[in-house]
Amino acid sequence: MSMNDFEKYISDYLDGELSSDNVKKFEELLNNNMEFKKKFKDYKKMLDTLSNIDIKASSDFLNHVNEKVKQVDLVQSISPKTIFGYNYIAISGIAAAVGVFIFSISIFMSSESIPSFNMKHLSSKNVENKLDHSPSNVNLIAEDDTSNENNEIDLPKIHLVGGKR
Amino acid sequence: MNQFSDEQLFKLFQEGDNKSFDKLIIKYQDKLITFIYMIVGDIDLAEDLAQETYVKVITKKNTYNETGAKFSTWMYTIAKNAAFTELRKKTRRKTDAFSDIKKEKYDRPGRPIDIADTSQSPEKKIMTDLLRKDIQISLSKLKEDFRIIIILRDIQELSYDDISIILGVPIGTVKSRINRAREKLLELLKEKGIV
Repeated sequence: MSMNDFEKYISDYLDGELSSDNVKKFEELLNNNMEFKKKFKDYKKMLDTLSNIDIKASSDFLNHVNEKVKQVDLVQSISPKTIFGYNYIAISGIAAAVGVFIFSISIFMSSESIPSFNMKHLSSKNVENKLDHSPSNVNLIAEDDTSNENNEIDLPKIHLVGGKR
Repeated sequence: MNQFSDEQLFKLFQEGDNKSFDKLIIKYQDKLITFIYMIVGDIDLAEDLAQETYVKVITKKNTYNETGAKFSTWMYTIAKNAAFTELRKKTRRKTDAFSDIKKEKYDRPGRPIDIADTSQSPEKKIMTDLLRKDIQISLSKLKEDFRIIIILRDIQELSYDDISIILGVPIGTVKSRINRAREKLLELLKEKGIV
C-alpha cells in the first residue's frame, strides 16, 4: 500500500467503512511505517477535536422560538387573505381596471358604428308632413333632412321608397 | 428517556401537540447552533438562524412527509439553506471594516461554548473559544462543498446516508468529498498549530 492508497483509505478506516481485507492491510502498514503512523495520529486528533465542538444555546432559546412563532402567526392573521396567491385588494384592483378597460372599449366601438344623424328630423310626424305636402304622391315618403344646409359636407341622402297610404 | 422517535414527535406536533415540538427543539438546539455557527462564524447570528429554522419548520409543518425523510435531515436541510443564504449576504456586506469588530462582539468569551466539559475554568474556556474560532476560520477557507461535508460528518457526526440526503448527492460523492476535505483541513489546522 502506497501513500496514495493510505490517504485514500484513511477516511474509510476511521469511519469504519473499509472492508475487512483492507482493514488488515491498512493496520499492517500503520504498524510498520512511521510516516503513516504520524499522519494517522494527526487525522485522529483532528477528528477528535472536531467532534468535541459543542455550542450551548442560551437559556431562553425556546422562549425566543415561541415568540418568533407568535409574531409570524400575528403577521399571517393581519395580512390580507388571498386567492391563488393574490390578495383580495390586488384582485379588486385588477377587476376594476379590467372593467374600466372593457367599458372604454365598448364606448369607443359604439361611437364608431353610429352615424351622426339628427334623428328628430326623421320622426314619424315629420315624415307624415312631408308626405302631405309632397307634389307627387308616389314613391317618395321621406327624405333625409339631416342638418347640412350649406352643403359643406357631402352627406348621403336617405330615401325611403314605398306607396302612399 | 423519550420513547418517541423524532418522526413520531413531529407527527404529534402536526396533530396539534405543541409540547412534542418543544422536545425536538430542546433535543437539537445545541447541535443546530453549532452547525450554523461553523458556516456563518458568528454565534449570535447562528442562534438567531437556528430560531428561524425552527420557525420555518413550524410554519411548513404540513409539507413534511413522515415517510419521505427523517425529521433531522429535513431540519438540517432548512438550516443549511438559511445559513448559506445568510453567509452570502454577509460576504457581500463584508467589504466594510466593521465586520471584524462585530465578530469580536459576537464571539464574546463569556458565552457557554464548550468542548465537552461545561465546568471548565475561565482560562480553559477562553482557550476552547479560541480553538473553536481557529477551527471555524480554517473551515471557512475550504470550498463550500468541503466545508459542509466536514461539518455534517465530523462535527455533527451524521451518517453518510443522511449527508447524502441533505446535500442531494450520491453516497460515493459524499465519501470522496470527505477524503479530500479532511486532507485539506488537516493541512490548514497544521499551519495553525492545532494539530
